[in-house]
Amino acid sequence: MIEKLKYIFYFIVLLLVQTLILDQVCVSVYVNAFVYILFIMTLPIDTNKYLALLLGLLMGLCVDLFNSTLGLHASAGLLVAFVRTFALDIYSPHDGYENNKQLSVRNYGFGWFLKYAITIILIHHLWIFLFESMTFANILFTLAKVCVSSLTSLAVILLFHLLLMSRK
Amino acid sequence: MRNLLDFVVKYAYFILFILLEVLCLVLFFSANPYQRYEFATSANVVTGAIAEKWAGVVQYMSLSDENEALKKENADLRNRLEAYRRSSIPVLGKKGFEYIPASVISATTNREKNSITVNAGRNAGMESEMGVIGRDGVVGIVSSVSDKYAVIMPIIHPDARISVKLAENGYFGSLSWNGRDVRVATFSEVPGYVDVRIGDEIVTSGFSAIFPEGIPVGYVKSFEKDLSTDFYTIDVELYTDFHNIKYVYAVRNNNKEEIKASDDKTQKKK
Repeated sequence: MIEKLKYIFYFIVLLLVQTLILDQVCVSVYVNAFVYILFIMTLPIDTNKYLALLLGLLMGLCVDLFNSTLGLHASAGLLVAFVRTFALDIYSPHDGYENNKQLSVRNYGFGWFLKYAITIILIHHLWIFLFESMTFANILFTLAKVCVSSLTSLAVILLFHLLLMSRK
Repeated sequence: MRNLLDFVVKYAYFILFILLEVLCLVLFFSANPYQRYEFATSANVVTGAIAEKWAGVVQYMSLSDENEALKKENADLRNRLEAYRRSSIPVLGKKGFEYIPASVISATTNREKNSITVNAGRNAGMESEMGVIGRDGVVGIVSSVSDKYAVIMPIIHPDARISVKLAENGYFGSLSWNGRDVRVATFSEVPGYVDVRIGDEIVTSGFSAIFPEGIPVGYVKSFEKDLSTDFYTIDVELYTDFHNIKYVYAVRNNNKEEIKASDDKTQKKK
């Protein structure tokens, strides 16, 4: 029960940080930070994978409602939840995951988290920016945005991961 | 049949993912900026209210700057009023343009499809497809409205088209945005024989009935002539700073119905 409340808390905090702070701070067209995917990334390892899909969709939909971009983040959140299953498999540690251990830097190490986060962030950002531009014509511009924004997102995600999720 | 069932069971996860993804894509592509369901935008009751509360907190920090800016604008308006009084130009009667003030509660500028949410909606007289101007010039067009909030499609949105002209000689064309620089938009359709100079002012043309004529938009930053079509492509430095936009005015054109009716009549005669 407490575990569930903790994830509801993460959901709300990350949603509000995303929509009220990150989406309002506009540095440049190249710099977009998306922290909301941290919620989907760190769902417990034993989360039902269908439930994870729905939670990814729900998170994206909520971001869409604040941004008037119906469908964009919903589809991206869904994709992250889908890709997560495979990313977790690929990066599985030697002795596997433990059900009651949160997917975090503290439990599985910084290197593991970095690999996992970068994979998910790159896929998510590529999806979002290709979608937004809806064309391959400006592919260099889009890729530049993906690279710069991925770095920004990685920094913000690490920050919030350590702030919110590292305490016991 | 059995095979089909086996298939569905085996790939249920993948099938669910694809179905939900298709649903998202349908939502995304069917969303016309002017006909969105209001609950699906930031103008809906819940997200609108949250954004408004938050904007209230943030605004405290810039209150004195904002006051200063408002004072300046007030003084400027007084001067213009005085100029009007002295001149003998007949002021438009009851039917003309009306301005609806609104505060910005949320805005994005680093997206390809940017939006601005303001705290005035249908109850304040907002309607979709009204022009919106700010302290320095044109901001955008109202795209969707709820009772208390409205979403504005700013100039810096790929679907925004605004009819503008060169202030000096009246040659007109349309203004659009290429998705890169928040301060620069593209003014096209100006014929190659026109004399364009860097620094020339660009204002609204007043043809579309969305904006009054002569609202400042920006100035010519650079231009290029396309030799094959003999038309200019002009980069316009926008007056409105979308990074720092606190309040706006929506423009209500009280003659819009009549203009539309007469347009329709002409169309029919043809």
